[in-house]
Amino acid sequence: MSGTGLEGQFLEARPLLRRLLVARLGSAEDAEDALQDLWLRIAGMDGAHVEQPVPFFCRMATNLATDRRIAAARRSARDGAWEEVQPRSDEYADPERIVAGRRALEQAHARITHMPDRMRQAFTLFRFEEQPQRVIAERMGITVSAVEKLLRRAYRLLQENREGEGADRALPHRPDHERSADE
Amino acid sequence: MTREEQAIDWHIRQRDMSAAEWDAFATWLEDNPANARAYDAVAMADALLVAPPLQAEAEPVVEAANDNAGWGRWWLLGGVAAAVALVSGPVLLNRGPDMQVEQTRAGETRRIALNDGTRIDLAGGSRLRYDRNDTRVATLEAGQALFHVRHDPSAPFELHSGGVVIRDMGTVFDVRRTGRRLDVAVADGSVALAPLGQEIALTAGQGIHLDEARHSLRRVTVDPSTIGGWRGGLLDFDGEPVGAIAARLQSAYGMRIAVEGALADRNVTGVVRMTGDAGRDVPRFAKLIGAEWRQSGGDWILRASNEDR
Repeated sequence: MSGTGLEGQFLEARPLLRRLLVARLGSAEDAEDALQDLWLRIAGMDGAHVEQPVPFFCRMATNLATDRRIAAARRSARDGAWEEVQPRSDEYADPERIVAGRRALEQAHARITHMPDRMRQAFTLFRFEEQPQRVIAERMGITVSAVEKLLRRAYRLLQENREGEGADRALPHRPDHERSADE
Repeated sequence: MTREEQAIDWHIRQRDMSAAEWDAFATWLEDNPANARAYDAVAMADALLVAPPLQAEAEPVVEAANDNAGWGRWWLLGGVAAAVALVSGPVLLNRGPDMQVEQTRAGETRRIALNDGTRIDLAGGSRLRYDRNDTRVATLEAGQALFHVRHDPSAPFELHSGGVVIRDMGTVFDVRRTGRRLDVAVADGSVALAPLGQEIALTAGQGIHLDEARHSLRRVTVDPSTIGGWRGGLLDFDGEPVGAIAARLQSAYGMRIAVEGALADRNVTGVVRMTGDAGRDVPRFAKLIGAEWRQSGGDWILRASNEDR
């Protein structure tokens, strides 16, 4: 039960993790900071239980990125300076609405309540009971790809909800001012 | 497929992605900043989503009545609660019901004072429904609440939860509803209820653990002075699986705790004092139950320390 295995794996995965974090956070500096954070978490872990370290790190990285994005959105919603940290784009959910919290949550709950039964069952098992798709398929007596289809529709429904407008239109590219940070 | 649909697909697949797929995901994110932006919206919204409480508004699901899978009842309960509410409805209709729903977020507690002198303390992640024009009836749809009921022999207070009705006889009692489980503990006075068709009277220091899914009912003895202790962070576990405790901590304090492997089913008995600060509480709780903890993003992950258990 030593952590040395994980450390080696982390170094190997580092370029990929950095790419993910740069893409998610939009700046090389934030990505390095997040990598540091990630490393600290991984170094304190017992590696014996991690079967596939690279995908595991990647998930941690992307979750970490999401948490940081939420924290940044909350900060800037408070400061009223969202545009400064957020690449401009009007096509998707308004971050201030995402972090508005309660109302958005109620809206999402209403959507979940009104989902067709099978969809809600798959979504509940996936999102709130954190079951793998394979297990959900077994429990519902359907194929994994049918589960994926239900989940896809469920997420689309939730996402549509928060936008209040069609997602299916030509999207202007956001200004590319942060791409220089990429490797 | 729109950009957003692609983002959703990536998000759904993430738990099972190989290293090569993660590489492809990174390339997709890098491909166009709008991809990253679209993914961001999906991931952020999903991260902020917490499980909905039982919804009494949910239309009763007729097919689910034949569903033995167990999970479906979780949703069905809303229908049952609604049906129960309807039964007691006609009397109220004369005055016109004024339905009030009190819902607490994870980590939030709330005190509700009914106009007849009854006091209700609602724990985090709970949902209580009552009629302001007839405060002798209330429905606990999810979560936990401590009731200080002002007794009125001509109109006993009735608490509904799922298919169970708890009728007070001048009482302080605590009720917790978790999916198909119902726990009742009486601190003072007595209550009458009829779970699974059995008439039961509980007096101070007595309680029940009811599991409607397993059709099991257990009478327990409780220390009346600890009832409602959750309001001060005192959590009492009586043979409760770690997985269920994790869900309880999520409701009560908003801690996101995942339990891996067999640990989820291990039963824990004891009393734990929580501060509400996950950074202090989770490691201590893990130590208490002999588990290892780690953090991933905002999530806490628990697993058994020894595989040979």
